Amino acid sequence: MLTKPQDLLTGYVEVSSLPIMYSRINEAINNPRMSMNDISKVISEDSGLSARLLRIVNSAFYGFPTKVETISRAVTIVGTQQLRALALATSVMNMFRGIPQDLVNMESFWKHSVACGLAARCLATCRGDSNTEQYFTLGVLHDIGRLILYSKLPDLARQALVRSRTEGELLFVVEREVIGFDHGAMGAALVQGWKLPASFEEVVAFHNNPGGAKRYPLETAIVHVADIIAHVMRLGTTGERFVPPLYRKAWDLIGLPESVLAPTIDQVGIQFSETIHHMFPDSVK
Amino acid sequence: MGSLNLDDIQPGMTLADDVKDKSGRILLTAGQKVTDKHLKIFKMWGILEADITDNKDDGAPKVEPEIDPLPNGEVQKEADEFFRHTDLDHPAVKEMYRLCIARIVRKSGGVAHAD
Repeated sequence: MLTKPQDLLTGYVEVSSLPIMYSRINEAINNPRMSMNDISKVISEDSGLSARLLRIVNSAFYGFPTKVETISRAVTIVGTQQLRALALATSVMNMFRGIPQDLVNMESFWKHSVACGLAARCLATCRGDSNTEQYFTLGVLHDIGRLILYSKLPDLARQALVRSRTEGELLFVVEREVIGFDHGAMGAALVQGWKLPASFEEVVAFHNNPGGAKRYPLETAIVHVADIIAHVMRLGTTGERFVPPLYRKAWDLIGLPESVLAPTIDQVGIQFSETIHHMFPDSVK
Repeated sequence: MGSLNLDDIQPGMTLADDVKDKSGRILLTAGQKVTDKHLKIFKMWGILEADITDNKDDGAPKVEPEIDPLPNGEVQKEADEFFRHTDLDHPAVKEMYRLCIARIVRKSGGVAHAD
């Protein structure tokens, strides 16, 4: 197999970089001379994004007692890093709108992704980690490589889907045999071009085999377990039809008891429908 | 009785050990009877389990072991197929399998309607 993940991205301009708006927000947040007020102004320039962010902030995702009416207030209450993570998740979801739907149902794809993001955020909260929105975004993006495979290698991707179905084999394993690499490697190559924090690349690459994550084993482990939880909840799928095997060391690394699973599933269930609706209001009802 | 999941703790049960939050702050001390309000507060602070005494003469309602919805053949076959690549000996996977069956049964409107 001659194809490499990078080859599929050459000339694929629609996905080769993040929306300009995201990089502007990013620059504003990274610039120490920018005040909270300046950052709010930059976000407010994109009215669609601002509206989506406000809807998320006012949803069960946070459950604030009073309504947050403006972006500047959202920046104060939620925080800039957190708002940036949410902006990234919703920007990416809206970036892939044009992908042909014959291989994957996009609604189902994002349902699984958002469920994974919510589960990852919930696990991180239970551990007492900070900036849990980052985990949400990592979870939303974990299977993003599949969208590239579906649109750039539709024939091979279909072969993989059919083989996984008829042979009862895990899809990411079949992908390696049919395509030569799995959706994790594909997704890692994609996000590498987006100049995101290094943790994204590693988590996306190794969420199915967290043993490979050397620099961000904890982030990878949390998304690995969140992916399994999302499968167990059966809210949607990105192509995989079976519960992926649990990597024992990843579970041990997270260090939470089994009793965390039931409340996590409850919590994800409560937040799920509102969150998906607000992040992606046009196509997913 | 040992450690119970928060969902299985009933008001009136007695704590065998202090309940502490993530930072080690004590929320309720050993020997206290748990009330509805305590359970709500535990939930707010992310408490997942607590140690309950075996003491049965304190009027606490006896805890029935959680009754799993009895999966009928169809549901179990579906779940077994779904989990075929996992190691069901792992306690976390076992718990997810249980929760998954409960969700399937609930979705299909209970065991009675599942077939």
